[in-house]
Amino acid sequence: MADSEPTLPKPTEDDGLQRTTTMAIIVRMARSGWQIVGAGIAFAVFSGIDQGFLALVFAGLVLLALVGGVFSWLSWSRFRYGVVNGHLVIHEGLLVRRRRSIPIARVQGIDIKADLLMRILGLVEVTVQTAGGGASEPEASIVGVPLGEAERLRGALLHDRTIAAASLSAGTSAAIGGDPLNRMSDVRGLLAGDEVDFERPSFEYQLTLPRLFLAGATSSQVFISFFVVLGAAGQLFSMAGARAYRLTDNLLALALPFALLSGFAVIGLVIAGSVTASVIADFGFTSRRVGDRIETERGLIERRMVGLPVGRIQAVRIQSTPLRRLMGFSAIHVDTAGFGSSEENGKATAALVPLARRAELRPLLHGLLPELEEVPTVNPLPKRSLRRYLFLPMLGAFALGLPLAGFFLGAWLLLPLATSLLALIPAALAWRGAGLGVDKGTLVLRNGILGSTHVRIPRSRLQSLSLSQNPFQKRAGLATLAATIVSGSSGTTHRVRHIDAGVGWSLIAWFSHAPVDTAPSATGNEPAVLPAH
Amino acid sequence: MNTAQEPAHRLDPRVKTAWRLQGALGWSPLLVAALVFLGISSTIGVPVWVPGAALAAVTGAALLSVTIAPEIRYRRWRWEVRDEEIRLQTGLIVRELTVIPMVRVQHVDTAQGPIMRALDLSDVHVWTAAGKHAIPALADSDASALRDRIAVLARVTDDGGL
Repeated sequence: MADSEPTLPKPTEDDGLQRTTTMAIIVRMARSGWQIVGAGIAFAVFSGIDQGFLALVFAGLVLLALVGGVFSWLSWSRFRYGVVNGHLVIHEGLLVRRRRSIPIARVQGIDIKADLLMRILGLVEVTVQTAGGGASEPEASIVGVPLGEAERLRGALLHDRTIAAASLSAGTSAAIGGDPLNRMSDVRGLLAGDEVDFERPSFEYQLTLPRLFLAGATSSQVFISFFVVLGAAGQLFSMAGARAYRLTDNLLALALPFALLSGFAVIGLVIAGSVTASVIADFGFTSRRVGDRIETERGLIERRMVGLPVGRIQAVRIQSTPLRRLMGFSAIHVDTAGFGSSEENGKATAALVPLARRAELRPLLHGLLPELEEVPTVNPLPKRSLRRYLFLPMLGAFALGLPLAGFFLGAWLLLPLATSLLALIPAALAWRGAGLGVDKGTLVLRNGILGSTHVRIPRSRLQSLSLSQNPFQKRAGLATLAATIVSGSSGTTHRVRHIDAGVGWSLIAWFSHAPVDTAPSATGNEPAVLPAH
Repeated sequence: MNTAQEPAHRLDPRVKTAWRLQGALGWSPLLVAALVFLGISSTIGVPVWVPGAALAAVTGAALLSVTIAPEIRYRRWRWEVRDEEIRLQTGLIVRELTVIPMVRVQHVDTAQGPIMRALDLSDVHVWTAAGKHAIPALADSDASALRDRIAVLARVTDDGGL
C-alpha cells in the first residue's frame, strides 16, 4: 500500500524532533562550570599579580570559556526531542549518542522547575517520570524549554494530544513574551499556568504568608541549629574561660555581659538564617489536586513544580515537631514509591501541606487526597503496656548513672536513681503518644514523645505486616506491630511497640487475605476485637 | 505465640548443622582475639581476670550458638505458603510472625552459600517492592519447587491500591 503514504501527515522536520531554544545554550554553559571560569577571570583581573602572568592566565581562562561555550553549543545542537507516534523521543549526546523513546502510556508525571538564571531567561526544565523510573535510571529531562512550550509538552504527555495541539497556537509565544521582572514577581501558579486547561484542579491549597514564616520558625531545622549554636557557644566559653581566669576580676565583669549578648546575637542570627532559608524554599507553596495527580509548586528563587501521581502514594504522614504540637499545628507529608528520590532530600517523601491547624487537616485531605481522608479512630495503648515502655529506658538510665555514682562516690550514690527517674518522663510520654487504629481499608500508627507522627497506610499499600513478642511481652499479653511499605526504591517499616496482643492478632487476621479462624488469643487478656468502624 | 496461628511447615532439619557451622565460623575470630588478649595480658599489664572474663563470655556465647540456639531457632522457624499469602514465623528470643500477601510478591529466587551447597540446601528469597524475605535452608528440590509455586501464585495482577 505504498500509494496511501503521501496522504499521511508529514512531520514538519525530518523526524518530528526539535531543538530547545538557543537560550538553552546559556543554561548549559552555566551548568558546565562556566561561572567558575568567570570567577577566575574576575580574580585574575582584581588580584595584583604582574602584567605578563596576568595576561597568560586571562588568555587561558578565555580559551577555557570559549571551549566551554563551543561544547555547550555542540551538546545543545545534538539535543533534540519531540512527541512522535505516541512516544516521547529524545536524541542526545556528543560522543556517546543516546536515543530514548518513552511510550506516553508509561509517563506517570511531569515535573517542571526553574532556577534563577532560567527564570530570568523565561525557561524551565521539564523532567519526565516514568513507571519504572526512580533511583537507578533517571527520568528523562529536557533543559531550557520556554514555559509555554513546556506546558504544551506537559499537555501532550499527560493527556489527549489533540487538546494539547489546540493550546499550542494560543500559549507558546504569549508565555515567552512579557518582561522578566513581571514574570519573576508573579509567583502564584507560575509553572502550571492556565495554558493547558484540559483539566481544572478540583482543589487548590496555598500556604499563606504568616503560615510560611511560622512554618520556618517551628521547623526542626531551627531546633537543631539552636542546639548546634548552643553547643558551639559552650565549647567557646570553656575555651575562653580557661584564659579568662587569668584576667583580673574587673575585666571579666566587663567581658561577661558582652560575651553573653554576642552569644544571643549569634543564636538569633542563625535562627533568622534558618527561617529565611526555609521561607525562600517554600515561598508561594501551592498544592492542588488535578485528576489523578497532586501537583505541588514552591520556591522563591528556584521554582519547582512536582506532579505526583496519586497511585504512587504509599502512606500519609501527619507530623508535628514539638513546637508545632504545642501550638496545635501539623504538616501533611506523603511517602511515595520510586518517585522524587533525587528531589526531596534523598527521601521519597513529599510535603502536601507544610503547616495546618489540626481542624484544617480533614478538609485539606478531603480536597487533596480524598482516598485517604477517612480516619479510623486511634486508640491509646492498654495501661499494662506503660510498664514495658518504662522498663528499658529506666534500666538504661540506671546503668548510665552507676559509673557516675562510682565516680563521685559518697553522697552521689543516689545519682543512678535520679537518672532513672528522669528517664521516666520521656518514656511515659512515648507511651501516651503511641496508638493504633484500623478500619476496613486503612491502618493508622501513631508515635511520638514531644512531637507526633501519625502514619496512615492503606491496606492495599502494605507490603508485609509483622507481629513480634519477646518473653516479657508474651507474659503481659503485649506485642509489637511492624508495618512495611515501599518508600522510594526500597522499603520503610513503621512500628508501634507494646500493643495489646489480641488486637495484634486481629490485625494479622484483618491483613490476611484468607483469614484462618481467629481463635481467642492464648494469653486471653482481652477479647480479640478490633475497634469497629 | 498463638499455636492456632502457627504456620504449617518446618525447615529442613539439616539447617541446624548449617547454623552450627555458621555460628562456629562467625565466633572463631573473636575467640582467637580473646586468646591473644589472654596471651599478651601480662606484657601489657592488664590483670588476668579481664581477658579471662572476656574469654569466658566469648566461649559461652560461641557454645550457645553451636548447641542450643540452632535447636530453638529450628523449632520456632515455621513457614507456610497459601494461595493468597506467605506466612513466616521466626525467633530465638523474640518471636515474630510476618504476613506477605501474594499480590505484593514481585519475584522469587533461590540462593545457596558454600555451607548450604555442601548440605544440598537452598534459601528461597521472596521479594516485595519493599525488600527481601527469606525462607532459609530447604532441600534443593523442595526449594526450587516452592520457588516455582510462589512464582505461579504471584502472577496475579496488582489489586490497584488507592
